[in-house]
Amino acid sequence: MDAITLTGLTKTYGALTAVDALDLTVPAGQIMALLGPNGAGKSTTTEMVLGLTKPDAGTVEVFGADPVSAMRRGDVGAMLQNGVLLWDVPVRRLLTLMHGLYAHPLSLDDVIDRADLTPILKSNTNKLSGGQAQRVRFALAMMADPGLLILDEPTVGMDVDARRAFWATMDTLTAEGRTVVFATHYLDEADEFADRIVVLNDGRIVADGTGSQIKAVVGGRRIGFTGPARDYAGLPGVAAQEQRGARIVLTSTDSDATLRALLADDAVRDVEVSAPSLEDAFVSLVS
Amino acid sequence: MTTLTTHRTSDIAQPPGTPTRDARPSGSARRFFHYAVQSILIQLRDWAFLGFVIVMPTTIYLFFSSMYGDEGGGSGINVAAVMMVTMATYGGLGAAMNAGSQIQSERSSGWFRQLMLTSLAPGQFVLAKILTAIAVLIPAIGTVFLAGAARGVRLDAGTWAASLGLIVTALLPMIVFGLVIALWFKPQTATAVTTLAMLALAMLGGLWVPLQLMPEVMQTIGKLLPSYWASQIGAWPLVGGDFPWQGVIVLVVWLAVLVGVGALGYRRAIRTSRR
Repeated sequence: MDAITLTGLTKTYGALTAVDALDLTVPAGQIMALLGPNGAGKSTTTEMVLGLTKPDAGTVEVFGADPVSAMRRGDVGAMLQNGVLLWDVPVRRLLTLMHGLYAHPLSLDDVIDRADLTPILKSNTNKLSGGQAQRVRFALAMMADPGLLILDEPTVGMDVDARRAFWATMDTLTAEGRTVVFATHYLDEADEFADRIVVLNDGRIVADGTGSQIKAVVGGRRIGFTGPARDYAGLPGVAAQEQRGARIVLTSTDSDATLRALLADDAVRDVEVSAPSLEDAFVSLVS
Repeated sequence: MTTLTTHRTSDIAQPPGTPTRDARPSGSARRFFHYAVQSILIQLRDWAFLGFVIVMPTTIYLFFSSMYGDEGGGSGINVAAVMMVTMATYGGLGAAMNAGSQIQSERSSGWFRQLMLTSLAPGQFVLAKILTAIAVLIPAIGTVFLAGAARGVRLDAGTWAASLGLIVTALLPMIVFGLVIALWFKPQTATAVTTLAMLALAMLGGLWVPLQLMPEVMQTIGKLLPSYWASQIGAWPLVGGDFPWQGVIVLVVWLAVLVGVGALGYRRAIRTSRR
């Protein structure tokens, strides 16, 4: 069964089309990253999948049901972007309050353990650091024991250690067969963690594939070296040339051919071949 | 991986041993009950709010009753006892009208959205907030009653209970008033408007200064207000005489108008809300 099926999904706010006839299917068990610049429609799309926003046209199915029924059934857990916590209550009380509201929740101890909340159970929600608050939000997202987890920029405000710990916990959650859809600006995270990356721009899908496929869409490799400053555009496969300090960087559609020709010159040294980062892929896809 | 996934999904749609379809109605009731109880517990640890609806009316009552309370009324009614009922009504009024701004602030803060990511339904959320308001009414009124007892007000158990029950019942329309204000005003202003309306109702309804001491125009206005009649109906078990049916009519008219205005506000809120 598919976790999410979007058909012709459209949402407009006045003159702005936030989501434009989106068709997307996420099979159960997949870990999918949603990438795009601000205003690409990522949050609007996730809100429609969660049943918080009604689409103007098109349909959303979550495990074969409408989003609100899926939510009531406890099939979906979510971390909202800038999601707030109830103000001025101890974390333990907040968790107790929420724990009674799910159809088939994980045990409270399990949630506290997985989100590493033991040290802050007595803290007030208005005294939490950004990372601590994010851990509480994460606890609320997994509390339902959902088959589908939707995370809108989940690691915002976390330091490097917290981020690593977060993804380690996510690993155990996904090993249990859950579907995960996450929006992020940390493109290395998407590349590292997701099975599939969908790039959105202006409410449409501009690319859909694995991290390496996304890079392949941009095509080519980068060849950096030190050598005589001259025009290398004549070499086979070279699409672009750039001077970066003392180094020259060529973009090539056929790195093997370019390298063979380039290395014939003895003055060329310190050659380095790299695939473009997802960041580069992203920038050229949405521009 | 695919096999595991499919298995997992069916697990969630149909947890082993608990057929989801059968469990749902009772599960939904259990979740509502849990939310209502937890909301009440959270409200009862909000010291600023409790100070507003409990400490303030009790303090004002103790202050005024120590000034005037020992004078017996012409008909032999203890002024301290009537003043106690009036101040209890004032405390209850604050508690009753608060439900709306509670809902409003949780909606505007975004916490309501988080609640909508659980199995709780929006209607259950509103109903739980109304129950919370009713639950806070009882300590708000009860504390002033306790202060009255400490000041020497002596009534039989039936009279205490009747007065408490009548005040709570007569203040129910004021819960709707709070909800209506929350529906019609922006989050930033709703709390202030609620407080202002509460103070106006208290002052003009004779909860601070008896209506009889006011000019005639003010008395006429006061007798059209639900706050005045809530205190009159609450005092009836103490003062006796004819039951104030006129007050019941005023309360019913207020309730009908408030429900009407609330329904309009609800439709407007649905139309203009993005989510």
